[in-house]
Amino acid sequence: MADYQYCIAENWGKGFIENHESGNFKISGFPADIWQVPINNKKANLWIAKVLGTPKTRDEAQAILDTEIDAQQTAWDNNNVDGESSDEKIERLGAKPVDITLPA
Amino acid sequence: MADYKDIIGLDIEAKSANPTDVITGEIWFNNTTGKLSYKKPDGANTWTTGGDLNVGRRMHGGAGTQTAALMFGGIGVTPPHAGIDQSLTEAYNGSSWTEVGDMNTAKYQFGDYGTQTAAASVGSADAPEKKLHEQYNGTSWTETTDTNSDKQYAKADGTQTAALAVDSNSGGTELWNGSGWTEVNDLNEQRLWAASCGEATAMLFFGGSPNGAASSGKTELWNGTSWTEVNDTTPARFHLSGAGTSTAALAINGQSTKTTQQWNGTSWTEVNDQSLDMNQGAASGTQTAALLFGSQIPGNTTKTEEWNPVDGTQTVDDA
Repeated sequence: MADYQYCIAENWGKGFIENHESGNFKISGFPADIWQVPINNKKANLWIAKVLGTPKTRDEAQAILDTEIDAQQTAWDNNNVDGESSDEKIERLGAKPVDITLPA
Repeated sequence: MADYKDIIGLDIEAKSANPTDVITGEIWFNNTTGKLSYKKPDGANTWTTGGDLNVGRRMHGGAGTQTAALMFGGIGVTPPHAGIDQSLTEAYNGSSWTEVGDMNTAKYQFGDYGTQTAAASVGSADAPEKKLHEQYNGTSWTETTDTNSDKQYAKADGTQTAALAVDSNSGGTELWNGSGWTEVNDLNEQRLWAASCGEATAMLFFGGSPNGAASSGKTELWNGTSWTEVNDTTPARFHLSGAGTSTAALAINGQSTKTTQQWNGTSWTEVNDQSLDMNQGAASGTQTAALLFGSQIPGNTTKTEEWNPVDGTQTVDDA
């Protein structure tokens, strides 16, 4: 049985995750505004409602995440400066975004 | 059997809002929410979201407290700032960031120290700014006395009258007395992309990478004269952030981990993870009230997280 549920919600900053929420259940954020919280958890469900989260299955969330990471990797690949070494590129842009697998 | 009034000396009061001056064990009825509420002990610290930065960056500087912080310099992550050194400075008031006076020179991976109104940057990743020392007075930045030797990927802590700066590339350490720099004993092992916290006479330098690839958990303590190796952070990591003092520190995030660890002067203990990956960010504040801001992760580069204890106020529905 799955341990987590997923939703898409835009992180508006202050107040998006409050102390009484992160103190009561674990909230993990991923690229593309994907959020993971425990399944069958009343307080997590209330948080999803508060942030107007759109529920996604794990597979749907993974597909959205893959698309986002692909776009980030392409942007990284295409951002080049003439004569720049690989190490210099990593220094300038940071490491190339890596694939992420969401837990079930 | 004793009832609530016998134990506490009062009936359960009706209040229009949850009070802030309650004691552990107190019960009240919130007649706005229509819920019976009570106070249990405050919980361990957790991360929550703070106000967004105006311009997201990585490898920037940070100074100040959780509710009065300063962010400066760094490299932009997303267009139109991607890959470009920044001189922008922003100030945080506990809920939002406001742009203030720019640094004189755009740079990244420099040492940072001070408060929101008396901060500084030391060194830089790139020539010719590796010895540059700029100070901020709450309004504008002024170039002041350069360090004697390069301070590349530097770490620094202290105040505008007493600070310590470490060159992460060589381990070379210098002491600032408000008017000049003096070379003192080197770090035992140089490490790039490490974190630090503390002050000129008691500084902690932890994590990093000795060669730009391998991760290190090494922690070194400065006692005002020399560096001593103490217990390691776990997991070993680089691109982490530090907040607090040499006896009450936080090691935050790092490449491929959202782990937060707490230092008690002797050893590190894992505490609650962050919600977001904020590696290559900067932190300010204390072990119990910290602020983390900026990141190399495109979606998180403008984000801020706040570290606070969980309020023990609960409603009966929350039980």
